[in-house]
Amino acid sequence: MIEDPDGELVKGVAAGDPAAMRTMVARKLPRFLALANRMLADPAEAEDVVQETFLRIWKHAGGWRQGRARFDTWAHRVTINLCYDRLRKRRDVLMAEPPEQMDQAPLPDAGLTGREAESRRVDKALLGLAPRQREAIILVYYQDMSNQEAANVMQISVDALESLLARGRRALQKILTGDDDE
Amino acid sequence: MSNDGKQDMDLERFRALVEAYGGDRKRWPEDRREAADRVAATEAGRALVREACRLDAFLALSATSLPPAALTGRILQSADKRITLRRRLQRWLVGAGLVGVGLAGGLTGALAVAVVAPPPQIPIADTATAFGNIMTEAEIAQEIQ
Repeated sequence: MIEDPDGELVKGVAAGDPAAMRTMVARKLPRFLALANRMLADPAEAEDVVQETFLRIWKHAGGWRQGRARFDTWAHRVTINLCYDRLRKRRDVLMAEPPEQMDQAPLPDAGLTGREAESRRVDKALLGLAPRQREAIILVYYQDMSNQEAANVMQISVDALESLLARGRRALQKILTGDDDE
Repeated sequence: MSNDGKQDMDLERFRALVEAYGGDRKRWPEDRREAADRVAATEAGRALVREACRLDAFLALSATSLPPAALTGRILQSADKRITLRRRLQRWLVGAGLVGVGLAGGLTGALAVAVVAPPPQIPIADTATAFGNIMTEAEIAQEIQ
């Protein structure tokens, strides 16, 4: 049986215990928001996704059974799936309405300096990766998951995860080198 | 790539590991960390780690900010709504349960009455036979008188 560090908390949420719900928000919100922010690179969309994730947690906590997947694994999968929905919508909008001319508005990172600008540069580079490579890198490098945990979230083998990580890092290196050449 | 166990690791396997997990040993899978440490201590291993650490440093520049208070508030509000809904549902279920118990009690009572109570009286007297009514001795005596 899988030991779940969130098991007791989920039981509390399922029982409608307000303290458990507050603890769940305090413990998980920063983590899910960071994940959605890096997957989408859009703070407003990331907030929507995280809000929806919590609605699903409130709704499904009662059906949660210890011993199957960990709660954190399940909740990460929910957040990521919601992010993919958003990315799909973006792609559909782009396909349906191709821009007639270049948007002349300043880029979101225009005017930023120092650490914030560097952070945006990394997020932009991450957004340049294939989605599954981005997902693998975010889970291992930012969500601090072990290889097995990340593979479980992605529902793939550890070998497949490592392949995605290596390809993602190579692609990032290329993006970085391209940036450095400019 | 992932099934090295605690065996020795050659430089190529170490390269594959570092290409996936970077140069920070805390990200290396636990079951391969010991073997990887030995390769990392070699000159070729150090060079691979150094190279990987450049990209790690770049990735580490991505910062996260604290969740906005408004977002936290909205999520907590959704939790409150859920609790209210849950309590309402519980009250409704308790109410429905009482009605259900009442109905079930009524039905059970009716069934018990049907089973335990004597059957309705048979219109023909117990003395009736296929040849007509057999009178008791007392009835015969009364009729003779």
